[in-house]
Amino acid sequence: MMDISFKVNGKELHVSVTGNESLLDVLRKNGFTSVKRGCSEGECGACGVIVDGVYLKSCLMLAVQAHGREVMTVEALGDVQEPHPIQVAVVEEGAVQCGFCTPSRILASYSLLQNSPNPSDDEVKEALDGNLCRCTGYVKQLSAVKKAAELIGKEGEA
Amino acid sequence: MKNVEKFIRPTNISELLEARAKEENNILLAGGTSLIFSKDASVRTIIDMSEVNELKNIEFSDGKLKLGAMVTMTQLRHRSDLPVAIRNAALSVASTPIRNVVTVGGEVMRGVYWNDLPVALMALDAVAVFASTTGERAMPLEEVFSLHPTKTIRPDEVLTRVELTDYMRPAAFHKFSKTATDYAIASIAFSARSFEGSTVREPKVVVGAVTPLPRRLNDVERLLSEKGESALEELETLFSGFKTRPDFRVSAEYQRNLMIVGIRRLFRAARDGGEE
Amino acid sequence: MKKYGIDQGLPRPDAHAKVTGKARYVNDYHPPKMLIGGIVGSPVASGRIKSIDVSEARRVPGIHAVLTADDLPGPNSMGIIYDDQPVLVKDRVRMVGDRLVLIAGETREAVEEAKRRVKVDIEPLPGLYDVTRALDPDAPVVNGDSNLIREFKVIHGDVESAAHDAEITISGEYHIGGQEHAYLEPQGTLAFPEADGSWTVYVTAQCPFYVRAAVARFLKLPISMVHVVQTVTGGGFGGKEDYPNEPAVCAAALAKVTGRPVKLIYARDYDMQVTTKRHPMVIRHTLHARRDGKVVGVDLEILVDAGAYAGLSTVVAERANISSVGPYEIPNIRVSTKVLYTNNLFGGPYRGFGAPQVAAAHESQMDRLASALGMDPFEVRRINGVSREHPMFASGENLPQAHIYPELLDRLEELSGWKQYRNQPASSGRYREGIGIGTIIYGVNLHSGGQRLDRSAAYIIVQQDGSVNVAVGVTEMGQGALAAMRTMAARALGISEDLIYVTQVDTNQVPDSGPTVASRATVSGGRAILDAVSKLRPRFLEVAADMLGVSPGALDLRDGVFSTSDGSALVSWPEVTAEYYVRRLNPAVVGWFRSPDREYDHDTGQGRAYMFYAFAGHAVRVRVDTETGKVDVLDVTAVHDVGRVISEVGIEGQVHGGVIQGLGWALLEEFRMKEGRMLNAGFTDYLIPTAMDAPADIKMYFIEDPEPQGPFGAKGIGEPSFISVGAAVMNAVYHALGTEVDILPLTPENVWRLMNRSAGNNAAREDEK
Repeated sequence: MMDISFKVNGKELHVSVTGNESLLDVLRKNGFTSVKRGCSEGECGACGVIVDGVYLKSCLMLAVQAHGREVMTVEALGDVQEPHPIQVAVVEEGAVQCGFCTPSRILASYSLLQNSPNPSDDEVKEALDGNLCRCTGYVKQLSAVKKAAELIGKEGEA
Repeated sequence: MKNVEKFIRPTNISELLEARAKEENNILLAGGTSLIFSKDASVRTIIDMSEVNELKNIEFSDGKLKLGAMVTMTQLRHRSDLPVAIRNAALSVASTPIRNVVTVGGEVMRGVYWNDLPVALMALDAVAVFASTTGERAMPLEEVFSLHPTKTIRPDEVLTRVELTDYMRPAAFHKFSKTATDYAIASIAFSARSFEGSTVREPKVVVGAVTPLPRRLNDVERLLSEKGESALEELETLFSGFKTRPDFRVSAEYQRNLMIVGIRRLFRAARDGGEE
Repeated sequence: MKKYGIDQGLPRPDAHAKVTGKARYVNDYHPPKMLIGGIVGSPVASGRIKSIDVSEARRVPGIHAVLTADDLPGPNSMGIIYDDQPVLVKDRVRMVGDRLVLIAGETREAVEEAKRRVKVDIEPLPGLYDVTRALDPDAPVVNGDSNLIREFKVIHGDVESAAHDAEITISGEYHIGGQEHAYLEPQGTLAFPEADGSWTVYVTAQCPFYVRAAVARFLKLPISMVHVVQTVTGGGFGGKEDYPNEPAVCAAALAKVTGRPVKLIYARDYDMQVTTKRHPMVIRHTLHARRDGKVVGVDLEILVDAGAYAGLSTVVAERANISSVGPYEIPNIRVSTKVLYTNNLFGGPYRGFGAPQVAAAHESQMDRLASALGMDPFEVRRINGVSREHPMFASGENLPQAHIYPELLDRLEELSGWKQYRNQPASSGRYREGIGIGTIIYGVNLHSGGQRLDRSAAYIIVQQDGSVNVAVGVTEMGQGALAAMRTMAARALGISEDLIYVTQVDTNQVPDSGPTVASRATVSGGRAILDAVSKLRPRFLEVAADMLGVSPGALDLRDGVFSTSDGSALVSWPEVTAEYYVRRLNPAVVGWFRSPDREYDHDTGQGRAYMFYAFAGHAVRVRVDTETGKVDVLDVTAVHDVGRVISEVGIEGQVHGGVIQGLGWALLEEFRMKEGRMLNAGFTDYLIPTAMDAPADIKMYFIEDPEPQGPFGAKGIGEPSFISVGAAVMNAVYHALGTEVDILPLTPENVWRLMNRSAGNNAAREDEK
């Protein structure tokens, strides 16, 4: 067992982990159930989180790797009272159906818009290529990202 | 990885090399997309290279292009000053969240059939630089892959960078797969020193995925050197006896078909400007 | 500017919880003292168990129960229709993953360790992996006495004499692959005994009522003592119709033995190997026609590969059977649909429910006929399609809405740019473009064979502040059922949607409403709501009228206000509901929908097969790389006969989702099988479309010709949005290459082989020699 500590959405978490636990395991064990387990191989993308500004799959990352880092899950972006423009855009565009892929996709979108505030359609597709969805057929998700870019641009902040 | 007791994060190369030499049963962690699957119960120490900033550089110096071992696929993919074959190979790797963390070093050292980057690197005569506390040694990628890379590297060494000379020569890369994010069914890279009319000088043809490790196709290169573009119509005979890696996804004939089609397309793409 | 829909434009009611990460799926619950469940399944598809040794597994620290067939605290049977399926296998394994042992432990690690320590000794037996051999005299018998589970027929007219008189005959044998649902949320359930002897089961499911019945039966409890709560369900598509009974019974068994809550969540690769799949089918389709294009007879044999257990395969086959003729009036029909056991994957419900496979065949056949006669594919469909003048469906019914099919053809032809792309398909270098169509007729709601399940309830309570609680029996699995129910309730009542709160299905709150399948949520849930509102509304109108001193007949409730037509007397909805409560009147009602009894002859397939029908059509434009066989989709056009759109954003989402899922089935999703084992279980090698695969453009058009039996005229869209996509892809590739297409999926290698086959290059697969 190794003792590690890292921040999740700004709050410090201290845990003991084994060498074969993933960041996904630890996050879910500690109540961050918005981060989903949809497969066992790092292919579905439902486990996506942002670690030190990098969007990645938490099921592939060893828990120990998170030591000293800052992890962001969708809870940090906004809530019902104060939703983030990306969350607003996803709802307005009708880009959510069963919702299982939604939290990680929102983070993937956030990560894209941080780096590229006015992405082209191809850039959006590429940014979301690691988030499988079986319900929506992707069309509204792509338009939601474009809409979010617009909303963020209007707000004058990312 | 269940018996791992220690996690080290060196902050510079010498700390890294010290740890690599000293730590009991250690393993190097680059991006960290594959260690999670390892069942190796003998590993005791994980050495995380993510804070060794010297490994993250892309440098043009001494007439070489030097890619640090911790440079990610996302970084490669977005650099317009890099050879297009390398950018395409980087983009071929899985999906965005995986490209964000997969590294040059990981792609070279992992040794699985679906590693795309080393195919392109090998076609450009890339050289791996291994460092240890006693110094550095350089090894052409072709030699690295003469065995499984985990066997060609010594236990106290770390791959620190890959170097390329004459990296702007005509070259192209393509991954054949059912979807953009799928593992390669066949990946091909082609480079040449130059083209004159229908002849080609020093062609290099490398395949991956249809073989367990990236392989140069010396027979094809010889034929191209002799006959130039017209060799492209004679590839079927060269491949008729080619033994491919059994792949439950596709038949051997289809694998061979992709190699032939890929070589033809990439020859022309390299000659005509690099984009496939 | 919204073009369609009767909704008020609110976000769907579950949207906020989902985008903020707060929505709780079954795996997000952790009651105190919960144990984790696990399953050990057979590594081989066919064999006899010699021994199962769980002694070491039991000794793993943290393990609380390890159950074999002998240890089950309930009956060891769970076939949903046929009694052919055990909970745990005792003697004979019939599929890879067939359950052998159940395990409950404190952590996932302990359970995985215990699984590794179970020692199973199985003597392999010859298995049956080729459905075309299922009835051979020497074929291994997989289950029961015969591999033939059931046969369905359609007999209309005299196909032998039609064959005799035909001027042209088109025959094809189509090998149509199955499909894995690949819902992003895997199967899972949480079961626990309550202090009062009742049981609670949380489950991701399309039919909580099936789960309740299965668990009550297993635990030998009255149905009333089992409470099933449908958790937020991360996709279903039919894969969570009947299958959830299995993890639910397993979890209940473990919870019964341990006395603790047990959560059983399937790992993805296990889920892919063992849960239900779209049935692969071999379809032998013969058309007899005249030179003027009129089809005079159709003769079909359909082999349905059901896998090792019958499950709901006969129900799927029943729909495939009657749908196999297509949206055409054909005077002589003979169909034989055989449901067959094999040791392959477990066949079950999947969006379209047998219709997509037969559509692939009937639409390919129509295009081959067109080609043989030098006719355009639209022309041959206009000649044969049902219409006002020729309204007869394969069941012998005259379709009251047959006139919609010709309109659908016109719209599809126009919107897809057919004329531009069909006659001069572009081709440059190695690429060849093509355009193809697929059109279908879909029987909405359950087939006559499923009538006994076809009822639905809506429990509505008006609260004193004017807000309204609605509990329906149809499930939300992402498709937008909750939003549609809210819209219909609001519209029927005449109040704002934001006053209405619709809950996920809870079996204690609403009577058994059957499964959410067959695109029946809008129709059966909606009709139940309309029934409830039709009983409630007059009660409130009466009170409002009394408050205003007018007669109830003079009042209407609209936009939350009761008023006379001249607006001279009015009172608001919340004022009335408050007064209603003061008067202590009954504010609640259970609405009911029961489809009318229908007569249907199962031996001839004649009678009223379905409540009503919907048409659909897709056009797909493709570009084929003739060197690699890779098919790129350039654009898709969808035309749907929906009666009435309830929500524009909702229906668009269904159409997009159906198209992409259909393209996945047609081009990407294949099963690499070796003796019943799925070699490519998992998302790594079972490829579904990603964002990169979405075509540039999906155009759509909705024909709104109200269906008298539908709520507000609505018909439903869940499955029609999928069914004809695969057929259109096949026809597009046929057009692009000029090669007959008889296989699905059209993976690059499959297309490459088709091209080589037609070029006379018969290179057999080396690995198949």
